[in-house]
Amino acid sequence: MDRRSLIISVGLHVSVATLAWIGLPSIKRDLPAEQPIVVMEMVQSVPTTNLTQGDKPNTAKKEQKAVKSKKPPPPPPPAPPRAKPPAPKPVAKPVSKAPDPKAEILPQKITPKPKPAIAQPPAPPKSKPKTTATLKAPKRLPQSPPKRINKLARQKALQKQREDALSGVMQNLAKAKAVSEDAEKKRREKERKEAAETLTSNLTTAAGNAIRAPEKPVVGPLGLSDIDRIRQHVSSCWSPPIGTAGANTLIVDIIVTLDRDGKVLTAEVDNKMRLATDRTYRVAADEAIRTMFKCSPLPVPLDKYEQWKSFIFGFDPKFLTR
Amino acid sequence: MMMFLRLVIVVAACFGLFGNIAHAQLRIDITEGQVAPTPIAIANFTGPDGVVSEVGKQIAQIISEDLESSGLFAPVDSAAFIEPPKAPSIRPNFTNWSPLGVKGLLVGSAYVDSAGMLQVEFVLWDVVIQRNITGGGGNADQNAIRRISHQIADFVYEEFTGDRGYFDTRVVYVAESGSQSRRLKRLAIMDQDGHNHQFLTSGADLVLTPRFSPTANEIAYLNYFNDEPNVYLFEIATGRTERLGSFPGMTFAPRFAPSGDKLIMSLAQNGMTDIYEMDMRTQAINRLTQSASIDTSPSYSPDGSKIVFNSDRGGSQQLYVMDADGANVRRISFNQGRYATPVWSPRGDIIAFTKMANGQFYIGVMNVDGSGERLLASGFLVEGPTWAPNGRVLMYFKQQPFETDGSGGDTHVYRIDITGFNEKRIITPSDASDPAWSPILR
Repeated sequence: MDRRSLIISVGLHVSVATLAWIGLPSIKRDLPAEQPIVVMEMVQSVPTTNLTQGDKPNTAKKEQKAVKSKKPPPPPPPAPPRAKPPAPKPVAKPVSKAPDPKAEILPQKITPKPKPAIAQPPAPPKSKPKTTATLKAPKRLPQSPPKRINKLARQKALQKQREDALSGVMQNLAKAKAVSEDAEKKRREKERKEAAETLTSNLTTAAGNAIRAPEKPVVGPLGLSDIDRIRQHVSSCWSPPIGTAGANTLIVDIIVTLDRDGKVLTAEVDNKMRLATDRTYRVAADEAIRTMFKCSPLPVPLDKYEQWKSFIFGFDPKFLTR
Repeated sequence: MMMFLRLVIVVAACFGLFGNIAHAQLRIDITEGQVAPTPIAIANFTGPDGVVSEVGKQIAQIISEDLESSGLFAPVDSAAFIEPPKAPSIRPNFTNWSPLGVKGLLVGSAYVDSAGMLQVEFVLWDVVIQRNITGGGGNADQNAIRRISHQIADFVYEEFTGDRGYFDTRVVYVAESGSQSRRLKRLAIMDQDGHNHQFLTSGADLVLTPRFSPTANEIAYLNYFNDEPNVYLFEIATGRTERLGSFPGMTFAPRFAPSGDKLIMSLAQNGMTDIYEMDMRTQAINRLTQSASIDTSPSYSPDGSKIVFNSDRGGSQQLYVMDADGANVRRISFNQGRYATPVWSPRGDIIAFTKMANGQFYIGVMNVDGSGERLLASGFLVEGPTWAPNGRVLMYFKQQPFETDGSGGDTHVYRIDITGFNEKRIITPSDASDPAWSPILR
């Protein structure tokens, strides 16, 4: 009893959580901000560009959607391939074993029949370019009826002489059907497990990154070279507060927004409280803001605007006191 | 089952951390910069008609010299100005100033009104952010051009460094002349840049170690009257001299407490030299150290709670810190060499000193616990550091060796930034030693 209620409870929670994940607009909107965190980890371990890592989260989300659409009915598998063809990615991913591909592969696994199913679709599209319903039907039908019809026709041609054999064939058919159903069950079970594992691994990655995020600031989806270039550029414009008492505590965070050309639109001090009360800090903050405008535009990669449109620059003059 | 549970936990973790994800932002730490003077444009001050006035030129010149001498500013030659400003009230066309690479632009007006008073107004603009930073104005006697210019320079300095300026300050020192055997030493006072020089004593008596009071109205110094050294007080406004106290033995190395109501000094009695404090009103003295060694050169911390001094009680001349009442004496210098003339920074964070090691003299600074020693200047004889009131600049004197015939021995006052850069000699009419920097003038 407890177990059942627990399963129900867990199931409901998961569905609510999943719906919230996908459905809440605010979460969707913030997803881009999540990318830098993922990349940060990548940058530390791999000294190459983080573009690949930056793509991962996106595919994960697509995968989740695909998994969901698959789960309810088995037929959907054929549908996704139709919907996806326009996107080149799904085609490439099957090679690497992403979840999406599974949707396409599944029919093939069951029997070699998918072949006719695949062969059929091309024909209908010519007459009816879009209807997905027609596409689904052909795949479903070929699974068993054709077999039965062929066998029965053969039996009629062989007449009664093969009655015994007929019954044998029928038994075989029954066995085959049973095997087929069994295989279908296993396939569904396997599919469900794989989908669950995929989702879990995606969520684990997201959670792991989220946990790590606060510990390790720095770096977004930009590559190390991008970051270094920006850092050097800004450093060349900055006059640190040399000789100022307590320079090691004058760390000023400036929130900077950029336009698509890398031009500084706004530069604001993060710690407004200290700005209002500490004269020395105010001067250091003014210099940091001047630095940002003096350095404008920043040498940012123009194709990654979404990732660098907003920065935090931490001006840290501790090196003066070393 | 386990998988579902795991899923639930992970989902919950994700949701719990969404706040962080949502606020994650790309961060780049800038940990290096360009240590270079701040480029700034000081426009000649204009008269009421928008034309550059003679007095306006002088003011701009003095401000430029002040800022440049600090080593922290690089005034741009006015010949490079595309469109010299007409008045401080008019917002500059920043596109004409940005190409000069300046961060600040000082615009002002100055003229002598019908009553013979100098009227001054100024605005400091931030050329990069394109807003005004500060501004002000006032009037003064016509002969106060230098002082009012120093005050404006102080404003500019403060806005770009965060520290108070030190241009409107004075320096008292010992002016020296004559050969080694017949050296004439007298008190002299000047602006921090060497201008407005004035001798305070005639030279009849030998004088040493002058020190300003916190109000900058009095100077305590050591005067050898009838070959007996004692601490005297000189009142700048009246020129009146007064011996402080009357003790058996000699007193020397005086320095005021930050509050101004006490004076600390050394008193030599019966072969022992200890540190005493004196109440300036009653002239009552209180002994702070009691040792068979020589304790001298005491200097208060800015809050008056501690005193740093040098003593040979450990076998060699080293620096010690104690509470203002003489308790908790502890040594702070442990490096090789001898240490002398410690002076606590007005900021309170470091102590300047003279060091003798390897046949050389040095001026250095260390943290108040003795750590972080840095040597800033060196020479045959380098001694007597004194702090600018903002604690960013040190002044001291350097002496060259005397020749066998008694000539030579050139002695000059220098100043240096605490970073160890920008050492500059202060031009004086004669040789100069033992400088003491005044507080900000009021």
